[in-house]
This record gives sequence, C-alpha cells and structure tokens, in this order.
Amino acid sequence: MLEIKDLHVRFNESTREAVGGISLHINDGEIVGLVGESGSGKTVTAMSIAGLLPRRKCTYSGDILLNGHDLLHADRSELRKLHGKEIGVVFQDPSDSADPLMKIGKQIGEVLEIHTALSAAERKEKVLKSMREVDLQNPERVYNSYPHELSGGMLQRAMIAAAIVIEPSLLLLDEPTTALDVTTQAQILSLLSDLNKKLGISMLLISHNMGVVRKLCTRIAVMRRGLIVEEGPSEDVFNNPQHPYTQHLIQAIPTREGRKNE
Amino acid sequence: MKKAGIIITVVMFILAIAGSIWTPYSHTAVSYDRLQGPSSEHILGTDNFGRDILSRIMKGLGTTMTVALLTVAIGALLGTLVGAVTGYYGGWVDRVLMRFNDAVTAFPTFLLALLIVSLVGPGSKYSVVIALSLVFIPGFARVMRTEYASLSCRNFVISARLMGAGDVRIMFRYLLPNTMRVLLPALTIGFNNAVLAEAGLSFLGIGVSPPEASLGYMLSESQSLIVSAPWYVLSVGLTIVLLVFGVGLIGEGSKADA
Repeated sequence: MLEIKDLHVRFNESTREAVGGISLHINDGEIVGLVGESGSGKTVTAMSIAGLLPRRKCTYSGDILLNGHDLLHADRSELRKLHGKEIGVVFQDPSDSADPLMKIGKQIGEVLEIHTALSAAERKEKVLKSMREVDLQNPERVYNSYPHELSGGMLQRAMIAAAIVIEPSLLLLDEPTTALDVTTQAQILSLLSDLNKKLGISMLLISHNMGVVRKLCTRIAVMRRGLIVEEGPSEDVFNNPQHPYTQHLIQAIPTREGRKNE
Repeated sequence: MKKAGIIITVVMFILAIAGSIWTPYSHTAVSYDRLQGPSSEHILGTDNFGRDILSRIMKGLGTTMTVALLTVAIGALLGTLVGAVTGYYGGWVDRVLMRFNDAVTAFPTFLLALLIVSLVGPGSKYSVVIALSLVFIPGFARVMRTEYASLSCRNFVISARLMGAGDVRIMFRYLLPNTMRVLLPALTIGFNNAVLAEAGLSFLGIGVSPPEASLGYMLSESQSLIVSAPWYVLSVGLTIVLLVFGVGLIGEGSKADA
C-alpha cells in the first residue's frame, strides 16, 4: 500500500544526509513502527510522506508511492487532493494542532467540506459518527466546544477523529502520545489498536518510545543516523534484536526489575 | 475602563446619528444673535455667524465619524490583505510589498495625506477618506504581517494544509480569527488617528469645506474667537477629546482582556 524506495533527503546547509537511502513498505491494515533517537531521520521520513518537506531547502530522490500515487514528486495541487483523502496525520501536541478559535465539530468537518460535496447535515452526521468511533463522551456537547474546553486526552481523540473522518488509507502518527500523561497514553494506544482492527486503516507510528511501539505495532523499523538498521516483525525485533543499537534501545526500557543487564 | 469607554462612545454615536435626523436649529441658519454665551435657547451658545453651536457639533460629529469609520474600514481591509499575503507567503512577495510599505511609511503621514488630497481635489469628505485610508494601509499591513507570519508556522495551520485546505481558506478561515487580538486594538487606534487627522486636515483648510460642518473645521474657526467666545472652542475641543478618549478606552480595555 505504502512503498518507500531508496529515499534520500539532504538539507542544503548540511553535509550529511538526513535520510540516507531507506526503503520501507506498509501492507494494508498493518501498523508499522518507526523508532529511533532524535535526529535519526524518522521525522524527516514522515515529512516526506506527508508532503511537508521544504522542497526548496533540500535535495531529495527516491520514490514514495501510496496506492500508486507518487507522493514525493507530486505538485501542490495534486498533493492537496491526496492530503486528507488518503493520508490522515496526528501530531504530538493536540493543543497546538487544533485551531484555538474553531469549534471542534467544525474542525473535524473541515476535511469533509474540502473534499466532498456532502450537505451540512450529512457532514455533521459523519463527524458525530467519527467522534463516537474514537469514544468521545457526549459527542453533541464536544461538537460545540472550543479546544481549550477539552482535556488533552479528549482533544487528542478529537484530532484522531479529524484524521479518520474521511476514511483515509494511511494514518501517520507522529509521537501521538508523547504529550499526554501515562494513563491517557494507554487509552489512546488501545483506541488506535481498535481503530486499526475495526476500520482496517494502516498506520505508521513514529516514536522514540519502545514500549509504545511494542504495544501497537506488528512490524518495526529502527532508524539511526538516517538509515534503517533493523526491520522485522515486532516480536522478533524485541525478543531477538540483531543490531547492537536495537539491543541498546531495548535495554533502555525501564522494567520492574530494573535494567536488564545490570 | 472598557465600560466607561463604551458609554462615552455610544453617547457620541447617538449624538451623531441624531444630528443627521434632527438638530435644535438648522446648522446653517445664520441669525443676528452672534457670539452668545450658553443659554437656555442655545445650550452651547452661538458662533460668529449666529449659528447654534450644539447643532453644528451634532452635524460635525457625524461628518468626522463617517470619515473616520470609512477610513479605518478601507485602510484595515486593504492593510489586512497586504499583511496576509506577505506574512503567509514570505519570500519575494513579502520583500517587494514590504519595501514599498516602508517607502510609504517614510513620508510623514500628514504630508502624504496633504499631497493625496490636493491630487484628488480638496473640499469633499470623500477626498479626505481616500487620502487618509491610503495613508493608513501600511500601518495595518505591518501589524497583520507580523501576526500572519508568526501564526503560519503553528501546527494547526500545518494540520489544515494536511487536510487539503487551500491558501485562501487557511488565510481567512483559520488565521484571520486568530489575528483579532491585535486587529481590534489596531482598529480603535486607527479610528482615533483618523479623527485627529480629519480634524487636522480640516483645520488646515483642505478637508471638509463649508457649508458642511466638521469638528476640525469648527476648531479652526473657533480658534480666532478664543477670547471673545471661549465656549465655542471649548465645546468643539472637548467633543473631539471625548470621542477619541472613549474609543481609546475601549481599545485599551480589550487589549487588557486579551
């Protein structure tokens, strides 16, 4: 479904490639985790998929194909048609990714207003349905609330609702739980897993948190210094890590017994 | 503070609107009762032609406020357009338009307005409106540009773009409401500047010309009578002060709220 082939990205002012030739694919209905430390190139990879690369400020090559559409080389008007329709994006901090002066229901409905010819009533129906899908309590009330009236967890649910309301084929999750507290994190993770099972949306989860990735993903790619150093089914990577860097990452997960190799 | 401002401004508006429908005397009616002090017949006295000052202030208030409102509306509208385009797109559009903006700002406001009025042809309140609104565009453009530029890199704008929203939609549906906290105070300050500028232009004799009344023109007329008819200059001057003061209070109040 999503196929990244030999992606290279280098920013003009830098001598090192931010992404140095990676290939990755996501099958239908799969959740793939992309993990790595800050500066490993995972966010740049996500930006390339979302079409957010500052194109004039970097050089890039390779292919990113989503259901046959070329995302890397598409021009702005093509991208605008694909955005929202094919890819939904959820950011790290929900309080910054919601327009503070637009009511929640309206924000979720925006993507429908842009891409479909539905009437206002039909849009509202779809928005409420998608709000119920992400388990928002009192959808009618939340529909008419402003972002500051919701808690972080509720707002992140609303943002997920906005990302899935038009039923995209891929959901791009950029550290979707990092800004939330631990209990809310767990709820959001199980929500994402439910959505994946119920709606069959494929997801790419970008995170530096190995615990989060392990809970959610069927396959994991570990990035370091712009390269994928290890890739495989989630359990294999965790139980039998091949690359020393992956071993380090897994050892860094705190456990009840303390660190494993101490 | 805001409440006091609203009360003063509403009173001014009522006076101006009432003046367009009814005044105690005709504002152009000349009589032999020249330069009379305040009395029960003429609450604010009469001027050197025997015209009722209260009636003229009510008419003049209307003229001055119309000029100020139109000026601010046109100036803010065009200034916002320029600011939105430059702040949102950046790049060469920004550089070209803002350098032009700087060039316009480099002229003293009043001189530029004088120049435009004399080009358009003085004497009508609409030439004053044209001159002042052109002069006001750069100020609004600069304020709005800063706001648009800083809001453009927020995540909710990127989110909107990822939903497939076009530039015009992002600029006016997402960003414009978020600029209100700077636009509203800018509007009130702009209104006050327009009142003072209109008064200034009319005072110099190139603004609104008789028989139409405007506060600025009346002020320049009353100035030579400051000893023989102090109530004239006082009542006109105080009206201008109250008008500016009231709107200023509203602006300050809403800045404090934000």
